[in-house]
Amino acid sequence: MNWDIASLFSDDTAEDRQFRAEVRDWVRDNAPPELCHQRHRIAPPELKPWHHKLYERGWAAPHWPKQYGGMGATLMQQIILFEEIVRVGAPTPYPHGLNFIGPIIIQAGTEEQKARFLPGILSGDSTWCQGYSEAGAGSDLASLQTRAVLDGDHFVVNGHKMWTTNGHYADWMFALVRTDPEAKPRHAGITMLLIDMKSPGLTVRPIQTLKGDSEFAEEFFDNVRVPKENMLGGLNQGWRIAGMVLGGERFTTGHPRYALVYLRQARQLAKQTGAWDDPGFRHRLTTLEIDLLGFLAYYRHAAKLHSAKAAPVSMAPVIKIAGGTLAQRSADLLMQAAGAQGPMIDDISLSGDAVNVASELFEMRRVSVGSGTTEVNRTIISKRVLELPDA
Amino acid sequence: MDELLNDEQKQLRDSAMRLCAEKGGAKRARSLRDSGQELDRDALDAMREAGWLATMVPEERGGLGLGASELYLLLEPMGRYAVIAPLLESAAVAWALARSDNTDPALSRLLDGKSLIVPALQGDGCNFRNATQGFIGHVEDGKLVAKGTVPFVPFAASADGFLIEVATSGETMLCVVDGKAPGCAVSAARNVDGSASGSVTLTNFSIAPDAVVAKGDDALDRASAVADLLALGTSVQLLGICESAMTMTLEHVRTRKQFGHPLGSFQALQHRLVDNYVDLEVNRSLLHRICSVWSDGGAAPAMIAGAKARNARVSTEMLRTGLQLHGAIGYTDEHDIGILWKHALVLGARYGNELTQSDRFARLTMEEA
Ligand SMILES: Cc1cc2nc3c(=O)[nH]c(=O)nc-3n(C[C@H](O)[C@H](O)[C@H](O)COP(=O)(O)OP(=O)(O)OC[C@H]3O[C@@H](n4cnc5c(N)ncnc54)[C@H](O)[C@@H]3O)c2cc1C
Repeated sequence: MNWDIASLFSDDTAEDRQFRAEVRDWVRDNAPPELCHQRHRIAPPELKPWHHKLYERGWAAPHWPKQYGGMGATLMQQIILFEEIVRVGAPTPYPHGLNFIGPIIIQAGTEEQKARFLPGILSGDSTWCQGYSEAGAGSDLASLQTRAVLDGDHFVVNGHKMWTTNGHYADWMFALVRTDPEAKPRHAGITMLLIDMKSPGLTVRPIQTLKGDSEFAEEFFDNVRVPKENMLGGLNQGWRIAGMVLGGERFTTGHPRYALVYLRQARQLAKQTGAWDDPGFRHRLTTLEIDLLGFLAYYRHAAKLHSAKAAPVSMAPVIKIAGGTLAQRSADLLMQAAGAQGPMIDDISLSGDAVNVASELFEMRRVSVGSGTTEVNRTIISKRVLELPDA
Repeated sequence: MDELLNDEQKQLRDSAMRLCAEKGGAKRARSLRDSGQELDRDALDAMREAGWLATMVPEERGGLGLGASELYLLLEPMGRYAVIAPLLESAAVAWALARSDNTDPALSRLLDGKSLIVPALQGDGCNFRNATQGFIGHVEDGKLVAKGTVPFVPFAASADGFLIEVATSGETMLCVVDGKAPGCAVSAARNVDGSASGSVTLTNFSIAPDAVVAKGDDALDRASAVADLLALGTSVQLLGICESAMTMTLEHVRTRKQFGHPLGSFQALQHRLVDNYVDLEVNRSLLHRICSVWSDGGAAPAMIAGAKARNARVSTEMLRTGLQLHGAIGYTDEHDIGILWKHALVLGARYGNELTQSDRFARLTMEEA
């Protein structure tokens, strides 16, 4: 059986195969080696030249409509681009501009907003962050309290945002803020603002993660003035606007590649460390490989249905739960394969490559917490798909 | 998630659902079991009349000319309604026979319902591997004579004939033999769902030249394909059982109240059901995918081993939740969830259980880097 992500259960058409070959050659020649297979997180400034190269090639925003500088690409082409970039270990551009706010501006922005913000998002010249979560508002996002009060032609923002990926690098934040504290239901009192991160009164403090880098940050808003024209969509329309993200995003964040890479490394590493001789190790590897096989089939099936606009509500949460669990268990197994070497800070060399087992394990924590926890996704399925009653 | 079906496939699925609903169900399975019958003749006849046994037989040989994806559509409802009948076994034999020119008599007996012919294969993924078992043959006075035993053959006691593999010193032969002929003995044992499987023993059993369906590599390949198809189709039936158990359990937890609330409002139970649901979704996609590439030879044996192992594992988990959430009523013979469980136990163990198939998966993928 061929475990290659591109060919196992492939649905590539003849055109897709041609596109894949084209992307593969180009990525091989153009992906900056200093960014490939890096253990540390590539921060936005380091990533910029690579983003720009993709932009010049026309591949930064495959899913955007052509009129806004995208390719109007099919879902399969988006997946192909993703697969071929990660094949060489290169990073993909951050999604906050290209995948989250970009498509929302395209759908809900004014002409001025489109002209002002889209070019920078596309080229990567402006870095964006997502200001949704707060200390008190995580899974229960609608309880957010960062307050925005209209004062003439400005909103005055006070409050605190947290867990903002790239908050300390960002030029802009798209934020959900409370504009009506009395609203019932609570999400009817929320507005989306585009906030200049250099605004006076805005303080950003990076937060160090388990991995040791500063992926996210927190922001304190002290009477930050945001021009009214930076409101996206209508007043108190923020919740609806935020829901306009494109479903295609699941196909990159939820791609089976982590599990695929970890299980392959676990196999190799186990042979190196001797864990391979342990039947318990091999049985667990087998169980996870079978799960991976199943998840790959699910993923391809989902892409096919999503392309045919026939994907069920359950699709995104299933990808999240099945894929996330599998990725974490695969990282756990990699740790088992490494034995006592596993928790060491130094890289382990693995047939010419270096792998940092603990660092991968830390990285995988995100998949069950960020952008909707596993439990929240279970609740979505139990209510909307299984139609189980409320307590 | 369901597969995108064409109109013909939708029709097939709908008629399969109807037929299995009519000719199946837990009550019927229970009474069949209590009357000591190992299979539902009436259901099998209805399936044969609908042409299902010939699903994968080319049209020019009197079949429907369809593939494993269509067989999926028939087998899933069989699991769902716990129909106990050798549709899969018959369809697999028909497929194997239709790939040889000299098999018209056996094929038409099978498709006309005159003989029930089931596979009695010994080998990788079919039953437990055991070097001392299986059929071996030698040529005596220009005639092939076989001996040996193949155990755990489903529906053996009811079968009129068997598709067997005979190893000779020269090459392997795939043969279709008369189970009532002298030298063939079957001893059957019942399973908990009412079905039975038997040991087929051949002693000094002579095989006529026209009973040889294929030889050499062709015989080996075809026998492995049949074994794969049996494991694959059984997985599809298991998935059907799980769907049924899920529906039954959801209905129960929506209506049964304790502590003043429906059981289904308790998050601990909701999330448990969701995990089962997610596992079933993954299995459904996996089986759809393997079936869709099977006919073109794109389904590696390892994939099928993996699918059987995963479906067996998930069925254990799904039924564990199902039984648990029913409380004491789930422990009664009267309730249907137990019928589904017993059927799942039997199909889970048939043609390689979870551990056998996952071990096989491991061996088949062992050399990979
Ligand atoms: C790496 C990373 C990057 C992030 N980037 C961003 C970003 O860029 N922008 C941004 O706005 N946010 C970001 N987040 C925040 C993320 O959206 C939140 O962490 C997430 O929504 C969960 O909220 P919480 O952390 O407050 O956990 P909580 O909501 O407090 O949850 C804690 C635990 O309780 C469980 N739980 C909560 N409610 C229920 C319930 N009703 N039933 C059962 N279980 C429940 C959760 O599943 C979880 O396991 C990021 C998070 C991570 C980890």
